[in-house]
Amino acid sequence: MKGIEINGISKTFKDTKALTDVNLQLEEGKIYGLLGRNGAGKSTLLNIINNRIFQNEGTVTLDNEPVKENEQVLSRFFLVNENNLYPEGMKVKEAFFWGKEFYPDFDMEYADKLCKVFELPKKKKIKNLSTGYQSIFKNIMALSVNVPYVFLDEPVLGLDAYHRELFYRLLIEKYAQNPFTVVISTHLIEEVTNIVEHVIIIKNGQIIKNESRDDILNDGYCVSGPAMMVNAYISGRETIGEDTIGGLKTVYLLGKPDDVLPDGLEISSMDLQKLFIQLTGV
Amino acid sequence: MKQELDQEKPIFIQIAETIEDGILTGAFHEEEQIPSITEFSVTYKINPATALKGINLLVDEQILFKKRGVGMFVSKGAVQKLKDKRQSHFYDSYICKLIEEAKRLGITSDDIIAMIERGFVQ
Amino acid sequence: MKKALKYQLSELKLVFICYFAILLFIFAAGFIGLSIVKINIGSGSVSIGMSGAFVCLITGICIFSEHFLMLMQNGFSRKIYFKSSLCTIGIFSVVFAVAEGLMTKLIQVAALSYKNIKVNTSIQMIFPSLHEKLDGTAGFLMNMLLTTLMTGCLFLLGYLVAGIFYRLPKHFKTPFAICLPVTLFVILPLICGLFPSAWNTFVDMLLTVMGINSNNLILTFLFFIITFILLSAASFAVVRRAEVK
Repeated sequence: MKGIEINGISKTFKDTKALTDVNLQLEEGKIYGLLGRNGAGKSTLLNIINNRIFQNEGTVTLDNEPVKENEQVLSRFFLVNENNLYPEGMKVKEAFFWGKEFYPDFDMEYADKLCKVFELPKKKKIKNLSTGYQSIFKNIMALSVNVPYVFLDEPVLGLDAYHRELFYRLLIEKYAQNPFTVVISTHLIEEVTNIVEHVIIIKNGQIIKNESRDDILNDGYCVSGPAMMVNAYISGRETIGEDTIGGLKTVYLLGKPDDVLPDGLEISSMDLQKLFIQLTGV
Repeated sequence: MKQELDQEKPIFIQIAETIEDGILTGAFHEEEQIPSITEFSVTYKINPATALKGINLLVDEQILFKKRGVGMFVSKGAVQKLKDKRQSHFYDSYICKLIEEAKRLGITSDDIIAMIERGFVQ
Repeated sequence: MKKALKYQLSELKLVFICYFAILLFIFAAGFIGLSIVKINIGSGSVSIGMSGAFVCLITGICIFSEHFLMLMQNGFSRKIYFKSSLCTIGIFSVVFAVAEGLMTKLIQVAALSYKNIKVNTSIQMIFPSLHEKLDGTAGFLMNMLLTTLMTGCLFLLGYLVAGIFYRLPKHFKTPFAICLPVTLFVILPLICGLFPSAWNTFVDMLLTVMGINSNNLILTFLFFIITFILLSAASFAVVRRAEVK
């Protein structure tokens, strides 16, 4: 099977079970959204896939080759997360230099162009950059390495709205020209809803949703109206959440709505963020 | 032409409608090229696969056609095809909702007709 | 592994330069000093051996703390990183040994006019009774070999300590960072002073194992080779399961 296969991955830190029996497939050339609340296990999973930490159980393979400690495979991955693993004293342009040395397809011209676009000073030491600019630097690296599997753990941490928008546009442009696999782990669900093709939701170390974005959005809807009418409608149906204000009630349901709703009730689609909140809430 | 996408309708349908609007308003002329998938996806910040889905909808309806190695073009006669399509959907898209709201507010069909006539005069 | 090695050697350029600068400084200072004090200062032995000891330890620490994370970010496995580190250490050890050897020779030539000053190589410092035997080419080569081994062990020691420190859970790190220098510079000298006989016995045992008591060169070499192997094995065990969080 082409792509990354994650089988039965479990990871325990001291007495906390961070991941339990995670099974996933990451195909080539698709953009994935990895969503989960704080502490759900997203970063742990990305770290395991990228050989940064070791799983207690399970395997990760790429095209049936094990990933662990295998640089043939690892040379085709690139992970950026909040950790800065570049040495004290290394400047941005030195990092680019080594990027080119380690990744033969690294596009130096593109990296330079992005530095100008983001106004990132290349002569500055990475550790001296602000949080936002450290994110920008890492994102430029991720966009310039040209490897088939790129993992972005909270790529827009600390970025202002202008830079966030710029980053998304650049990512889409790069992807449109030459599709590669991107896994974006983020809290800003609304911003990535339209960018991702496939959504994976993690809750308490387990995958609770693993579907295409279109399927997930088709599979939920909201019904709102006077509380009594809504209650009558939902009897016998399973809801995943509800909001009440005064006499008005909104319920969130999975599945497809009936073609005709009783008068007085309004139906609306459930966006990914709403679905996420309802599914991952306590 | 829409500049923002909402969450009510699937994105690819909104993309298709945006292109249709462009054709109907003359922004895109028949037998002329429309923006590329890259341009659409970057402008609207959407996944290129979604943009492609929307475009393919119109290709299936023969509103657009693909020139290999060049891009997407507006078909000859697309404007008329779109007008016909939208006219036949006009009742479902606009009239039904209008009547629903009118009934809610107690507006009679005579009132509506009078309003429509007034609207066309202005 | 070539790319990793290239990176590690290039990042340690500064260390190379500093070390040679130190050596040159010692040479220059010694030369100038001797020229100024042209009186008979009695006989004495000097050696520049292991002047880089401290540099070696610190560099060993750097090789772990700076390079490990960078190479993990760029898709290298721990095995390759370790192999590359070992090569780096090997190369540096040889270079340092050669540099010291040549510098000693230079100083010997410069000190020829000072009949009472003996300039020794490191090996001659350790085995003073074999001084004459170790004067020729064979002695010079043995000196380089021994220096290489000793330097390598020092590098590895720094590397191992850095690795252990990295892998310690947070609440052990500070105690470890405090205990190590305290043990070396406070506790050890205290033991030395309070229990001189026990300390002497210990030192005696150590010198016997190292072959120094018996002037057994083969034993000395064996000691350092085994130490190097043990330190390598320990370092690999530490690196193998080091996680990047």
